Amino acid sequence: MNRRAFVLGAAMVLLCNFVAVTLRSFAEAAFLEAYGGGKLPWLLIANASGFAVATLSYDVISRRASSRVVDLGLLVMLLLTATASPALLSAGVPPVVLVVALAALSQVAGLALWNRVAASVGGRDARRMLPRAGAAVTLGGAIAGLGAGALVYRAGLTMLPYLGAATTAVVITLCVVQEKALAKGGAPGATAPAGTSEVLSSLQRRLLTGLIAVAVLEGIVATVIDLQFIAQLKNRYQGDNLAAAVALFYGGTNGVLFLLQILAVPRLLVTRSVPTTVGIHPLFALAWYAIFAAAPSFVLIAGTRTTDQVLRLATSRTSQEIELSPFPPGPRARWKVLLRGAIWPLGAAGAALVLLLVGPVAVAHPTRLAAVGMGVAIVWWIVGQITARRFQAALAAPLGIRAHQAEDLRQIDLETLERWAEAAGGDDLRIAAIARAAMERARVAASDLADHLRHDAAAVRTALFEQLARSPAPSLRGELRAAVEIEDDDRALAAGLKALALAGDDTLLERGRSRGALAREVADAVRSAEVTLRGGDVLAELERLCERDPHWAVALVRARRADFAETALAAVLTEAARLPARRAGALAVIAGVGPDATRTILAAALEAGDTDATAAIVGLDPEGASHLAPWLPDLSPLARAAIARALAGAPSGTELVGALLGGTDPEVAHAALRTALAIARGGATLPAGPIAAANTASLEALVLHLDARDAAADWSPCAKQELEIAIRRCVARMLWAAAVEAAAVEAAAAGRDPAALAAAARHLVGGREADRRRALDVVQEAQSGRSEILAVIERWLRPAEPTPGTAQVLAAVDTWLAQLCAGELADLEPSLLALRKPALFATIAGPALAALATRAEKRTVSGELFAAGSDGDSMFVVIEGTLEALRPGAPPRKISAGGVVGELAVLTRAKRAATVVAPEPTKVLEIDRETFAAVSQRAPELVAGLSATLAGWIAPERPDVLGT
Amino acid sequence: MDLLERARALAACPLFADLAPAVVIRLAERARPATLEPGERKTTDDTVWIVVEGSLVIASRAAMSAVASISTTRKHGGTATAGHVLGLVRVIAPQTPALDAVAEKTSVVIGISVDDMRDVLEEDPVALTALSAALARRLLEGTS
Repeated sequence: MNRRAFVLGAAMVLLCNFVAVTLRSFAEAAFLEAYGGGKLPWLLIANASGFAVATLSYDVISRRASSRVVDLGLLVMLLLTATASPALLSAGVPPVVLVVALAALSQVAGLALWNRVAASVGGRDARRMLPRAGAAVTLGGAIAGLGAGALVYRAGLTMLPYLGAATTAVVITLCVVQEKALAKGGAPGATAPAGTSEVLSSLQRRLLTGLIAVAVLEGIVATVIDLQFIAQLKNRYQGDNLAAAVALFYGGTNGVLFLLQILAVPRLLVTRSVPTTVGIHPLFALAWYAIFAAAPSFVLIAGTRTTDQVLRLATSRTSQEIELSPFPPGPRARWKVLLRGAIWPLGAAGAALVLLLVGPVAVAHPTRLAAVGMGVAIVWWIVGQITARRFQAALAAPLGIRAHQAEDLRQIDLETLERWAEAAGGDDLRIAAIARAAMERARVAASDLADHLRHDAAAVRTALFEQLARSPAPSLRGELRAAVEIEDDDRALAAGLKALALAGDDTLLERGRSRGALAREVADAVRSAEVTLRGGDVLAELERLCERDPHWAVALVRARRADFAETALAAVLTEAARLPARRAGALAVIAGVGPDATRTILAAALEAGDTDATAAIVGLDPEGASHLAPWLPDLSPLARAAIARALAGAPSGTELVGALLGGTDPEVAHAALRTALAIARGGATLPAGPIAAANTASLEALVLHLDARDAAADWSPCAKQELEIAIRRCVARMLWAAAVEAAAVEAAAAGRDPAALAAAARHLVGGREADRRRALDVVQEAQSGRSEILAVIERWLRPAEPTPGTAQVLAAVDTWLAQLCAGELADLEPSLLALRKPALFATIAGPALAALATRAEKRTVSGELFAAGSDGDSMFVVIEGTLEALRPGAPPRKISAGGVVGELAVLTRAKRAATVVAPEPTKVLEIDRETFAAVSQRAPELVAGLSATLAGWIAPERPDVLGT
Repeated sequence: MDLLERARALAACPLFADLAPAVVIRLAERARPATLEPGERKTTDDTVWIVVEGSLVIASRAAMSAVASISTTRKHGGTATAGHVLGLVRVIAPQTPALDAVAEKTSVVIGISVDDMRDVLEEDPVALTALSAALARRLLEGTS
């Protein structure tokens, strides 16, 4: 914000409105004296038309000449016309010409000067400060109204134009001074990022169309209300009483408007979404009008008109100001003038003309006219809402955020289901797995699947039996039995026997036995089914199933739990977890049904980033999720965070994610909220209680981190840096929580897309300054009603002025950071500072970086680091110095501090692609494959960073095309 | 194209070969298909495009005027055919220049917004790792 330019601008528009009201008072008094009150409707039309013509002329001229010249020329013309007007009147110039000229010139000057005030503030400051500049305009009008009355009594009416001319001279001076202030201190409200096109995009054009329609409709409603008000006024008051009533009305209106502009409007604009703000004016006008229509009276139409006049400036003009904000500066200034000075007046003039043609009948039936006005107001409200949505789209588009209705996967038709089932049983195993995933994501009901159990294709029947085995439904047992009874394909029969066994049905075991003699997979299924249903050597069968079918292994333990001791089960699972072939099954059983004694096996696997453990979590069914949930509090934060991340791909994740959402550990909360967002976007319903708790916790965590920032004056650079990174992660978490709530609580059924908030979080945390400001506006639009979120983000974005203090406030929400800020991890600080330099590690969570610092090896290398063609399992990050990568036939590539080499070996186990040497002693950090895998499980940004490094290497001449 | 058809199209891309089925489905949920007539243009400003059928000629924005024809576009870049992915690098490296792609015959593409793609990958470190490995393989194979 350019404060000096803003203050000068506010003074300028205050005085300009003083001039406008003073000159209009003079001109209208002259008009009434010449023509009488009967010609008032013509005055309205003439004024509106004159204003529109003057605005259009201003637009045409200002597109061909510099706005500085045009604006000053306009003000000089106003000064000259005002000065000459008494003489012109005496010379016989018709008063109507003077009225139109003075009103049009002063009003267009007001619009032009308003753009100069708007140029001095940008972004959120504009939302706060422009209503205050609007209050200055109101004040100028009020002073002029009151002052002119007094002046006329003391010095006569002809003093008014001279007063207006003198004040215009002051405005011209202020205009010149303010322009210098803008040149010196910048014009944030009229500056766009480099490269911004001045041509409106299609979204912006759609927005403009809506704004034009709104302005026209608003003008029509205003005219209808005006006409009824004037008619009622004239019926009620005559002579001096009429003048006093008019003065009182304008005084009261301006008083209310002034208070709103000072106190309420700035707060409204920084907390509520535009659809809310633009709805206020038409809805209030409609409400007042409805009351007036029910019982027409002067008081009620006065209330309607006051509401209309006050809200036009308090909310409609300010909304329009915001809705124009996505435009480039040039078109924004131009259309602001045109909408206010040409489009609105034309709508008003058109309505006045129609009412004049209708004649006295129009006001003879106030209820009918009110009904017409209400009808137009309803259309105005609807068009306003559509326009506000267009504004939101235009606001978010430059950030790449496009709202779209999420597909409701639960609404798939029978034909689609058939095709999916066919694909799920197809020979292409990958497509079959994808088809099954699609059915799981769509939560296809078992009863829908049962209809296809006699499908012609055996593969389809197999897939359906498998699906039914995953969600056994006792009510479908009869249909299942009938289908298995006639099954003639071995693979399908084995799957059918499994489905029957897991549904508790043993009636077809005999048939299976007879086929089992010929087919191994049927024999295996029969044996597993017998043990599942009738018992036997359960633990031996469990071992086999851990290798063959982890899902059935889980079901077996559930079915025969009473047949063995918990210690025996624990021993079998412990042993199976050691064997690679059975490990996945063992971990699945532990996660879904395992005894407490095996919990540590799962925890250790999760902490190590074991993919089998992740798969076990992904494969949990609702019963398994319920089994795991009580273990969560006893698991380490690392294991809980791993579970939270794994659940992003789990169909049954909602209960567990709900349980993880309420925790305070930042890593767990981060992962759980990200997963909750994924679940919410898939259309699943998350429990409202944990979401509310997560919202509260994430907001509190950010506030406490900001409190800590305010006390960080004496903290080490490392602590301050880690605090800032932690704060950014808190901001993201808070917005994710808000997004999950928006999706899950507010409008899940309506398919509201939470992606906008998630994307806004990304731009807020990592974007450019201009993008951050825009992202904050997107947050406001997407999360209207949560003003505390906006307030805390604004607090974060304001530069901190810390004082000395302690890190005690952080202890409750981030133990690691509290220790670091308290100086308890001083030994670690040099490593952390060094590791933060490469972009690869710039944003990952502090504890994950600390783990990396502890596990990775710091080395100083000289000469050859590794040779092309050699095996390797480490990557190297240059901390200080330079490495050179040498490839035959290519110039050496220098890798300086922050650069990475050897990452291909970590990702692909490939041989070294180049020889890398250190021409002089160079400090590097060696990260082996296991360390990278473990840390990247905790910090996905690490993988993203590495991918970005790789991306930079891929075909520099065609950097963005990847394929076969 | 229903969800599974979109998922099939994604799965047909070698770059997405290592993604778990659940991840492919999540991407397919956010994907929007489009049929392009010859001469129709798409950009990778904020969308990743997967070519399902047909072919598109490609060029970097800096090398082309806004009204470039198919023939002038072809001079600046290669041709993207079924299985090619346009704009993926911008997902992980936003500073990568955007491309224009112009259909040289009737083509079917699937678009996924960059933000949606980022969301899915950030939600699932395993998916991100799989994609990184695929990128690394492309680098090693020397193709682009």
